[in-house]
Amino acid sequence: MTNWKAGDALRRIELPLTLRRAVQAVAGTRDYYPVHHDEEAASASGARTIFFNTMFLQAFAGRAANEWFGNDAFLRRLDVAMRAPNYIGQTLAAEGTVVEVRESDGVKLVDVDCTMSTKDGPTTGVKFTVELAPDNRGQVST
Amino acid sequence: MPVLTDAHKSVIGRELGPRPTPYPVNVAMARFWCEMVEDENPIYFDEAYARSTWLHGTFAPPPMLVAWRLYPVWPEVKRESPLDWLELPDCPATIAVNAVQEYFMPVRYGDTLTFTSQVVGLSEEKTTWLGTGHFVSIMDTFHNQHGQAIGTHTFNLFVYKPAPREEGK
Repeated sequence: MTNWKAGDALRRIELPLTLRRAVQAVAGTRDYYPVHHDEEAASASGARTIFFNTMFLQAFAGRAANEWFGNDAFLRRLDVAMRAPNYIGQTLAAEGTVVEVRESDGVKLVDVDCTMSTKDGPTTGVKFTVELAPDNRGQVST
Repeated sequence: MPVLTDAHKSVIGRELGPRPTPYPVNVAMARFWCEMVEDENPIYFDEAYARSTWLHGTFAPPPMLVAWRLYPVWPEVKRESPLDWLELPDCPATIAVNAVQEYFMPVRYGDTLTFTSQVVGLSEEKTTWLGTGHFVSIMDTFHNQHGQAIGTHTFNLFVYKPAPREEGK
């Protein structure tokens, strides 16, 4: 297991925001709000085009948390702040930094600051906490 | 636009539910979720691997909380929402500011969930670049069929009257 420490940079993960992915996001999140699949509705709302919903960003953050901290790390807290729209046609990139590694009641937690950006700049501010898998699995029960 | 009345403030803390989510926690919806963001984590679907870990078996991606509680779009049924209680007729627009979720334990396939929704915050009138309105916080709390709290979802929204757009901008 990696010994994480504050200041560690987490590798960039990219995801192209195609129209097909926007359709997958409707199927995957069951959010039928028209701005997320209907060009005209998106324009009428003041947006440039179709943009992705909150749950999609939570899903991408969840994927990033496990790619960075292991398949068996358990996400404890996730805060996703929508700063600018994530439009189709862009590529979304997640980058992160370890803020703190702490232990509470024998549980090892890592706090992370993550930014999701497109070529227009940062769109989404993410903070999350993961619980790392315990070193001694025999003593843990859930 | 009026400042908050006692009627508005009385909405804070009011709870709706518990209501059942429409479908049991299931593998198909979890797969669609993972395909969407290319999430390859085997802990969600590979039972042998998942059993070998401290999490003792497969479970659904934790951030799926809200996806479990969204209702079918057909047949259409009008359902009550805590946003209906706010009575802010001058504020037709809503935008998501941030969403905070906490996960207390893995949500297993086959679990049947219920959720309660509560208004946990309502700000005085504020003006932002979008317009004038109120910040509203709504918290959903999810339980499984054993009565265990599995997680919360707090959505912070800005409910507002859009500022008039200036010509040429």
